[in-house]
Amino acid sequence: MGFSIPGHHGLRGVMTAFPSSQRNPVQAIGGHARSIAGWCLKEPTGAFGALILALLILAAIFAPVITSYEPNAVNYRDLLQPPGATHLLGTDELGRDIFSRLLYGARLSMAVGVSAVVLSVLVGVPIGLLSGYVGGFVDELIMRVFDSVIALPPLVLALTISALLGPGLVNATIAISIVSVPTYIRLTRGQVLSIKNEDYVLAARSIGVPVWNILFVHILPNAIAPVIVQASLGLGFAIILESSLSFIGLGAQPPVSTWGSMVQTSFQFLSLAPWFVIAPAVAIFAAVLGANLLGEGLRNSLDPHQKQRM
Amino acid sequence: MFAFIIRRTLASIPVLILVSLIVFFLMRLLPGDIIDLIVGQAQVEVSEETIAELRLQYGLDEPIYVQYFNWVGGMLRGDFGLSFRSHQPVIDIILPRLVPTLQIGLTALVLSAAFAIPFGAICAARPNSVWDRIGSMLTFVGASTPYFLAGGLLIYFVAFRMRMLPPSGFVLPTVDFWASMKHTIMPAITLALSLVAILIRQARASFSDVLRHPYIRTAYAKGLGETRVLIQHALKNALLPIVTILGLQLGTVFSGAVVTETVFAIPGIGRLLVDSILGRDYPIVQALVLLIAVAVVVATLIVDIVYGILDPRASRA
Amino acid sequence: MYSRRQFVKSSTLGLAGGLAAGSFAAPSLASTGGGVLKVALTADPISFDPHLTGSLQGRGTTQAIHDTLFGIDESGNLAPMLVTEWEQPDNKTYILRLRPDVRFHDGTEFNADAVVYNINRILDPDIGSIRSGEIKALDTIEAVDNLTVKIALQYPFAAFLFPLTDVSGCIGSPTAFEAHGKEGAALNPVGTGPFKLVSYSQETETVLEKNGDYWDEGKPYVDRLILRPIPTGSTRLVELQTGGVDLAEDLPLQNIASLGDQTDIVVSERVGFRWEYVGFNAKDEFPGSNKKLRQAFHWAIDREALHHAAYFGTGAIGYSGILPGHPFHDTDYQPFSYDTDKAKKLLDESGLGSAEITAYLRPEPVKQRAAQLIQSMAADVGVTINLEQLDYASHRAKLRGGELPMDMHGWWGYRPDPDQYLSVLLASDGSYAKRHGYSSAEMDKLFSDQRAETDPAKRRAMFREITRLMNEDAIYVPWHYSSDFKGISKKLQGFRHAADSIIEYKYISIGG
Repeated sequence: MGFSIPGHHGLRGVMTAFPSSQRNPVQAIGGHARSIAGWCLKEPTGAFGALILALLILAAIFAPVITSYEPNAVNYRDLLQPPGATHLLGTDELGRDIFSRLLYGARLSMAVGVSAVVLSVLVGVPIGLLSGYVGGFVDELIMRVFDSVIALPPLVLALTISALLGPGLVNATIAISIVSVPTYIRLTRGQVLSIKNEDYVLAARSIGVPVWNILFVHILPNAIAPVIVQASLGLGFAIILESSLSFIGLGAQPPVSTWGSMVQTSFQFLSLAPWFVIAPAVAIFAAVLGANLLGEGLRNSLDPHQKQRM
Repeated sequence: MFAFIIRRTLASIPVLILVSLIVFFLMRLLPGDIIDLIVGQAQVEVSEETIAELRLQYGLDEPIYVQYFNWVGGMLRGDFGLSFRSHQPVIDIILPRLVPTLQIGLTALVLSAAFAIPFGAICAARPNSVWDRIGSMLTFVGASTPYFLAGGLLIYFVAFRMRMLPPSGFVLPTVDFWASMKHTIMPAITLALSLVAILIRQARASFSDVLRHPYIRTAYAKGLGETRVLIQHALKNALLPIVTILGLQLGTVFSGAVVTETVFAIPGIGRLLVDSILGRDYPIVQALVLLIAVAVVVATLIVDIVYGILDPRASRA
Repeated sequence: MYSRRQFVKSSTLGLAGGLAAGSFAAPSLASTGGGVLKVALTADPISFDPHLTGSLQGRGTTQAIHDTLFGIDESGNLAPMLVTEWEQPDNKTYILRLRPDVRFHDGTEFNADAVVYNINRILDPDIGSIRSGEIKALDTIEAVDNLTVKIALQYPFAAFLFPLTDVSGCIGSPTAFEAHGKEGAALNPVGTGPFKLVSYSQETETVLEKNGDYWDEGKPYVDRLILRPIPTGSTRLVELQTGGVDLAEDLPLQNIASLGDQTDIVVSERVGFRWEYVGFNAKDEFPGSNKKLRQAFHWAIDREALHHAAYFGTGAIGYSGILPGHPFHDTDYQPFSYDTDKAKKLLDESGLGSAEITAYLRPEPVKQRAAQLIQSMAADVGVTINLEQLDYASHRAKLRGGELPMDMHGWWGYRPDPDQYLSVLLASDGSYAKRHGYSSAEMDKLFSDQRAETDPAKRRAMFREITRLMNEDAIYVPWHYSSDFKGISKKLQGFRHAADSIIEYKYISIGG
């Protein structure tokens, strides 16, 4: 079987220009202030998303309590067994318990997915804010540098990181973040460009509010909506991308399981053991679903117009 | 505007130089080179003298900076060098490979736009309706399904079970148009899956932004039907940002192409790039990455111009 | 007429008898008419220059265009091809008589000068052929007359003629080589073979057509060959099942068993395409420098389990580097069994207590399964193996640098004489031996002795001794012979499954 680089979903090049109409920062900030319980009542969708993610994280933490099977224990007498009483979700190609591998895999997949998204948002959004707000030469420089990053194939970046920094999950997370950062920069910058000449920004500037304050207090809440959309979809992309990196030395190495690597391996047994594919695919779907519902809830409370429509 | 384009074109020169430097040195930082692969593939004993001779022939014996200037100098004369793997001119290898990637990529863009934009509009017009829920589900499925899985399932069901389409390969449209279309459908759908996910989401956001404007309420108040409001009034304003997003999907299309071209055995540049990286075929990787850089520069330039036209507040970036 | 390559009857080891490689009838004269044969390859041939091509697909395709000097008969011995008779006056000299009235595709004559030209081309530093290592024992080659070539060696080398059954023995038209130059030769091959190149489009298809003037009367049977590179195994299989191709190489192992009940395709298995071993680096800085630790793996590995779980019951369990199907192979040689007590005892004697080794792995599904199983088996006896994945080039670079503490990849590619690869692995001057930190005077003596020996029966005994010493030193712990698989449409006739997996298109015909 030939070697194929699997599942590179595009993490980059996504960009939105939300034509912004007049937004009220005060209302947006108000969203933060509400208590968690109040927020859950106000945003049941978001609360449901948070619940899904919380369950996945709890399952990951309490994996040893939930399952008695050791995730990496091979058993070559029980290869590719269908789901049943002994093995809830069946066994994989080496006779390992799929349910157990799914639970333990949640630890790594969620850790890599969440930290890659958080890292790229933390790096990308401030750069985007600055670039869009300051403009001129700084903007030009930042954008051109990241144009070059976009042009580089993720595989070259990943191989180089693997060769220079060595293998491992942390370096895999760095690689995924580098690949996704330009997206968040462009996304944020686009929003800033259309917001920075709004009356309330100009007003804040005219009374001498410091730049960091304008950026993070006045502009950010109004620019964050598309970033949240992208980030909640980005969790799935990151989980899938991790599995393709493990093949070149980055990411989790066998016998450790991640959801992405499970989908990858199970794909070979599509016609023989369909349950093997379904289990990790559903897990990734659940994580994406949870992140998106939560993201939607957050967006609603941050964007006053969304609320008006409801 | 004209000055802006000139300025940006000039600004892109350093970008290209930077990209050429990065890719050139990164490739050489990777462990292993073409000679390791030639020797490994043949599984024969190769003498040290032959290996030294090969290094000489591939120009790998020279200092790296000399190799860089040789490469850049060649390009300025229009000579991109020879592929390490096939000894054929880089241009002759790359050009024929562009057609399938562009054809499948554009088909995927058109398909996903044609499907996702109306769908996103309906989702926005009727928030929390059944359509909105289906739209969300499609988005989540699209964002959580790896390309190889989607492609593999299509081949299994459509090509193997139903025998409706050929499982793999590519035919040029100039040779046989219908056969070409048949070979394009499955890979294009596979690629479109994640595009649809992003586009439905962003189209919904864009339309809901437009739909809250007073003129939309006025249109409804005049007694116009939903379809007419969406198409005649909202579409024009909502479309521009969506088109902008579409233009920036190059990266998505390209990274997806790598997988679909492998699964469907399509001779495109996505697979050429990966094969060349893994095969340490420096001249091909360098030329392809520069090509991608030019495409990115042009795409972002166009997007920024559209920005300027669309939203005068953003014009002076 | 000799068949060019060995054709071993179906080895249905571990498989329900549904697979039948040997069941192909020789084509009857009535069914020899033309047709197009479509083949799914795993990779593009890339180059048709016999002296520069490297991959299996390149070698296979170039051999459809160029005849080789020698063939291999059914018992694994040299057989006539472009050379019809040969003699060895002393152990450093060969006289080859060439087939008369053979012409290259460009109309020029095949003769002794052409053979001398081709062999010299392999040795030409400007060409840079990696094949030069295969014929490094050569001293001089000369044309005695138009159809006679004399070869003199620098030192006795019993296996010298065997590489000439492969691309090193492919003869291309000197006129064409001169006309096209080094780069041009890659895509303008001119040989004497059964097929001529019509068109080539990288990663799309290679089209060959029948050489109407082929010297082997009546062959080839098909008019046209279309070779398509399809990298994904499951896609190749679907192409075969839906009739998109008539022949597909390298089918996914996990699907083999379920293909037994297909009505329109047959799966042919050829055991002994590669041999798998766990390799150790014996340099001081690695745990593999401890001989007892290495020997423990002979007993710690459950070969039966690996055979079933990693290979889905295909191929065969192995204990040596002499591949099944080779005249030197000994099926009775089974010195080890799965015995964790023995393994633990050896580990106790090693004085290491516990050991930890890193094994670098290339992203191949079979090797991933095998490596994880071996990892678990080693853990059972107290040895920790850490697995790390690398891409192919990085792996080769580590191998070249002698930095692999443990090697899980084995040796692929059948060679007609075991000296061709065992010397690379075991003789002190062999590149793998150097990289594994292995050097043994006793082993070197065994190698130089068998090279000087011309009697195959005596060489067979010597190789048995080499195997014994190899297992004693346990730098390589053999555990499996894996198979080559071809999926074939039932409408094809005359398919022969060669040991080196190269398809001999000229024997295949398309029946009703």
